[in-house]
Amino acid sequence: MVHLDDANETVVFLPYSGDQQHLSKTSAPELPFNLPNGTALRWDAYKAAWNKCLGRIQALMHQLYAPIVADTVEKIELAYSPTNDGDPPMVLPHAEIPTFAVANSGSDAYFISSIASRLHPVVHLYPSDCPNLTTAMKSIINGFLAASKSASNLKSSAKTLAAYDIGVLLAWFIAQKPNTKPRNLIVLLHDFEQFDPGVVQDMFHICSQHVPTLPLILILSLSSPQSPLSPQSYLHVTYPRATLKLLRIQSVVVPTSPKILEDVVIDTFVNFSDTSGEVELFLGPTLLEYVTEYATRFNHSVSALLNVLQLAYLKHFLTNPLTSLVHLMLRDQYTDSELQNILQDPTSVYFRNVLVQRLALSRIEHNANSDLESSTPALIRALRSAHTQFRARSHAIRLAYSLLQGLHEFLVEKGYKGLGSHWGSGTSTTSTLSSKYPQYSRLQNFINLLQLHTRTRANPHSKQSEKDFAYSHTLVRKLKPDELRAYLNVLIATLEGVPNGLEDIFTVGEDGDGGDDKSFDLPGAVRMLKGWRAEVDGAHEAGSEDGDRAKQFKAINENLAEWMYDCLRILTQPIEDTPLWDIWYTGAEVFPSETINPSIRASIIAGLLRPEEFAASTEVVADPQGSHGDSGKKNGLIRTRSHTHTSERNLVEPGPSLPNHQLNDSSDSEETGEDEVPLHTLPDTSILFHRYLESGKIINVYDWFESFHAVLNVQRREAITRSAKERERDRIKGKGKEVSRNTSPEKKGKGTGKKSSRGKGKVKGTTDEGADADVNMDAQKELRKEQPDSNPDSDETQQILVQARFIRALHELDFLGLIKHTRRKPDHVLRTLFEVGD
Amino acid sequence: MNSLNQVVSLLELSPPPFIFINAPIASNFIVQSLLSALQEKIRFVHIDGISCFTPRLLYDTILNGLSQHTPSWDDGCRNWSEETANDSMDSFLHALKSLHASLCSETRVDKLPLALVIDKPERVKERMPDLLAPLTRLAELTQLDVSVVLVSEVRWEDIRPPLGAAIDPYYVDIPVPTKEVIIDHLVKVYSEYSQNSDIASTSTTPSPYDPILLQTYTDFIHILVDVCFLYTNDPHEIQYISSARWPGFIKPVLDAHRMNVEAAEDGDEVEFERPSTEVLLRLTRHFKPSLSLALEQLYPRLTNAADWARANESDAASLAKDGIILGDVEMDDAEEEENTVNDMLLSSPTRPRISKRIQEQKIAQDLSSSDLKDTLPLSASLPRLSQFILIAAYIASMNPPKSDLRLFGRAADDKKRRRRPVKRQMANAKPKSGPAKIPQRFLGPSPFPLERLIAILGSLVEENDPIASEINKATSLAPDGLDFRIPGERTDYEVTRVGVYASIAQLTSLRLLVRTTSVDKLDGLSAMFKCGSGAPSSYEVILDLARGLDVSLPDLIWDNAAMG
Repeated sequence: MVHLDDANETVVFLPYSGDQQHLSKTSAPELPFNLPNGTALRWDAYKAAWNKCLGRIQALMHQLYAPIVADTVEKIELAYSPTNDGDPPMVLPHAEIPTFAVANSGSDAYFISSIASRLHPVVHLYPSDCPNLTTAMKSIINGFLAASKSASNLKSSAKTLAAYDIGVLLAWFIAQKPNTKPRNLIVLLHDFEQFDPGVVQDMFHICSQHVPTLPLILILSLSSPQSPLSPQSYLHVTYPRATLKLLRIQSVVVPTSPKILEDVVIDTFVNFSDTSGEVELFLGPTLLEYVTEYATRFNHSVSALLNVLQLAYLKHFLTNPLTSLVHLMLRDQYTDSELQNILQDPTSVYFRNVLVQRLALSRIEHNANSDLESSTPALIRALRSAHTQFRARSHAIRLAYSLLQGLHEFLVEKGYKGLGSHWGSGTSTTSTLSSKYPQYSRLQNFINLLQLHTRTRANPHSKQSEKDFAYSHTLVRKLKPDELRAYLNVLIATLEGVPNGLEDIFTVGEDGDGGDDKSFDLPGAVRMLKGWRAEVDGAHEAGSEDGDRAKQFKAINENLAEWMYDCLRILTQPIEDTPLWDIWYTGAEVFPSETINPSIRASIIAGLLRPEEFAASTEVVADPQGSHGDSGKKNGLIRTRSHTHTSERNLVEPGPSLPNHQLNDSSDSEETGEDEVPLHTLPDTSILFHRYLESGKIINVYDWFESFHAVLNVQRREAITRSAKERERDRIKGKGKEVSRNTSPEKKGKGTGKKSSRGKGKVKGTTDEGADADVNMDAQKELRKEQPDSNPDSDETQQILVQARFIRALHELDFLGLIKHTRRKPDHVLRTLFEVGD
Repeated sequence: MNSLNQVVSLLELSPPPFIFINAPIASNFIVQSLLSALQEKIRFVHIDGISCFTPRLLYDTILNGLSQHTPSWDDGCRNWSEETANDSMDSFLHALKSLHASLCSETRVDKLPLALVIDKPERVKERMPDLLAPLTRLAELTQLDVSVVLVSEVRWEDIRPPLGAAIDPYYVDIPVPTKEVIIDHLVKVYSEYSQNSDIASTSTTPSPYDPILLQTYTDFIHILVDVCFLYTNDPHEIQYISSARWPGFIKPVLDAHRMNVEAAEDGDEVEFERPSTEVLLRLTRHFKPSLSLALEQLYPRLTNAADWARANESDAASLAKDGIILGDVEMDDAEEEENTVNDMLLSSPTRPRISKRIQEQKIAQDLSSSDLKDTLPLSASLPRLSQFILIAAYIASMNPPKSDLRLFGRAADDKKRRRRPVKRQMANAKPKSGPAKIPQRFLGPSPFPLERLIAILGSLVEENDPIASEINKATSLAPDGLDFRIPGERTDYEVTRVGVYASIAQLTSLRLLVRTTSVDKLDGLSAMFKCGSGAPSSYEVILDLARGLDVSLPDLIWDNAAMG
């Protein structure tokens, strides 16, 4: 039973009690070409892939934070130990509480929790624990007593110390046996900015009275971005000197700058790692761009990054039926024979067909095609080879990136400018205004590489990589002999640094059908480079004539530059050329930014102005008949996309994705072709909102009501017309059909006993059929005829009904914040929204 | 100090029932001195106005303190009194009487004078206004020899219970501590410490608090007090600074001694001597600039004494430069330096050399202070949009609302309609009558409604955010399929995103913005905000942010003249 009046309940759950059928209609649509249990498979695949990615990011975070965590923990543990010999003794006027102010501007709880987990005993204080001094002190004391499991010893009564008396803690601490006595008592204040400064001041004062008898240590978790010891920090601005002088504040600044985020992304998706740490889904340039944009503009904490990535993963696996293969093709999960069984299953025939067609598209020989159709092992072989090719390509691009980055770093180290400011200036990444996301230059460079061959977008950066290649060619040619030797060493180290098991992946890459010039032979390259190095070394030691040596070096320079240029060209073949790339790569897929960061006001207004587009779309998508990718389905998706702004892509279309503008064009034409929906077919709130937009700054509520009433009258007449038509049809078809078939689904869901065909309920999302004039005439007659013989108080009921509906709609607008009440004029409300671009 | 002695003798001889000590400066110091003076002379209890924040705590503290009973964990933290003594004033008075009786029987005297020293009575009055009057009349209520001493920074007039409920106290006004008082205190602390600790015998290096160095310390303190006295005369504060500086100050002398000991032949006992006046002068010259630096950083607690001492240790080279000889064993390069210094001394008058040295010191100071603050500029740690929000909040806080249209308004032809505000000279030419208008900058930030913030933010983003404008140009290719035809519509869409509201909420939780209306009120007026104190309402910080974002902030501030 739900108690809505219960003040103790902050949240009340109202279970959906409507029609089950109605519910199922709004559930996620089945994807076309899906495997019989494809949804479950894709879910498993998503879970596995996401966990892997998450695990990797967490491991990276751990690795990044480990040194500073260790350092801080050590400092905290030694806070009360006597100073080491080097430090002179301090004769202070009063004892200070060792305080560690942790500036954690990224608000990642990770750092604080990993510190807390390594210390004991720690009392966690949250702002809600400290509404006043008594509670705050009680929380601290009880926290320590509970941590030592000796709380039961103390029964607070009038004859003992009060439970909030710090004397209790003192007595407890003194009574501890020397071997079990905690070295420090740590109080960790979470969200320090949210604490009431008055309470905290007094708390600190009380604690400081008993230091160092009680070895208290405070850890303040601050999220303000300034360093805790700068004069404008939260601590110094908020707390008086009298409080600050009780503390010995040491600041711990957690590195949560954009750099950490970039490091994490680069380490996860770009840098090589051993095969176990390799993520399965490779992000495309648009997604990475969104990641950088979101981080630059809104939030650069790693938890925000995780949200974005998880959503990207979820979307990828939700929308592409082929992604079930990600899981199916893992050898430790499914053997070949199991995979074969799944593919041979008659129900997965569509899935199989799509696979065969997609593979055939990328194959030149047609004879292999028939082979694929008939033989499942051949299909599986082709799949495996596609996967290998994909991996080769993705690794190749990453290798190309690391080559460029390596060259840049090498040059910067030697005191040159490197590949240009957009590659970062080595030690400190100064913001360059020319770049789009100055803080994420490295990531942007990688994105440029990915987009090297995408020419459709008017991206100013797409040519950047080409320039980089040419420039690197020039730079390598100009290397001095010493530098050449050093660079060869760096290069060989980079290439040899490719983890085991990946060395030969590049040669497998093209399967021989792309011609020799397109494959990259890593061991060969290393051998060649080593040869050059030997030559350079030899030339160095031989000390032959200057002219000869110069020539020799020149030749090597030229060779190396040429090789480098070719190598970069080969390595940056677009990933989209490989067969079935979209299983493991998101390509140009757009991030569903509206789900994570919608523009609420725009959505509300759009919803009020065009409710039918929001309501209708679900119907189209849910249409079970359109599930085989016919044109109706496609249109439906396009409509959804353009109207609800959820940017759901057309997922049916396999292969290189449909260019964006094409989608937009079709939707635009459709949009402009559409006519304005008649006002009376809209829901009440929308009707009221339309009238609202037409009014002046101040709205007379009575006038508003009148206009609303007028629209409802039209609505009523319409409904009667329809019912007349219905009756007409029934008469023709013969009786026995349900009368209420035409009422809206919502009405059915409500189960109001009134099945009157008057249509008094809201008519939401009706598919307007365009009443024909004949029937309309009928309806007019009917209306006139019906009015007298219906209930005698029909008009009155109608009036009350209209009023009720008006008030409800009015309140809805009020809750949306569109109305402001004023006392200046009775019966008038103020508009809060003006000049809506319709 | 005299007045404090008066109090002590008064309490000893014929204790008045109620003494009020007004110590406007350094009340902590006064309380400590008073307590140490009363030690062994009279039975007293010290009550801290903040620690005793409920009547029960107050009663317990008084009774346990006077009876010198320490509650122990094993008997469940029992109080001294067997009866319930802490539920009301009445039971407390009874308990106090029985306590007195038991104390008398213990010591076998008829009358035992008791004293209650209450520190920060203003806090007692704040939390328990009803208790102050009975406390002042404790002697009368218990018919005992109890005197209550209140030590406060505020005057009795300001905390006196109304209607004359409390008796008039015996007033004692503590004057501002003079230099002599401070020096006396510090020297006393020094000698106490050097006597107490067993440091002298431990190692070859004598402790910085060696009794031999007392005279040197006194000289050092004189210099320190001269530097600091203008800014603070709280003996505790000066003690704090001295404890941070003294060990570093005397370290060269100690090092020299250690080197002597190490260099000496076995069996030769090297006497540790007080450094000569010349050495002291050199030390003083070397360390004097760091004294004011210590004051600047330690007084507002921008760092703590231990860290400061560690960060400001002098290195050998700079010491050698100033002619501080590290014992007989000298480093070669140090000697060279010394020679050059001597050359300079010969060739040039002293003054320029000193000024040069001060310059060098200054540079060193600047380095160390920038190191110390280890400033994280807002621009590095906040996302772009949050920076824009802070700028918008600053503008909204500092400009009058009527100026918005003039500063940010745009005509239909998408051209800026920005009118320059009236020039300062014009304003000067026509002095207005009536009270002078104080510029908003000095009044602090004024609150503004959320809508205004969003509107200004929109204007800023529209004109200064290259990302949004870039998307504007490539409208047809916008990745999310949105189509904006009206200029500014895209920005309007951008600034009403959930992320923007989330950023505002985030900034509020960081106290960079302050919400002035209550959170649970949804209806009626919209939420009001203002810039938080400190960084977000400082012109320099915001200007810095604005520069990073290419916003020309001075053009957007209405009362520009006041910004200087």
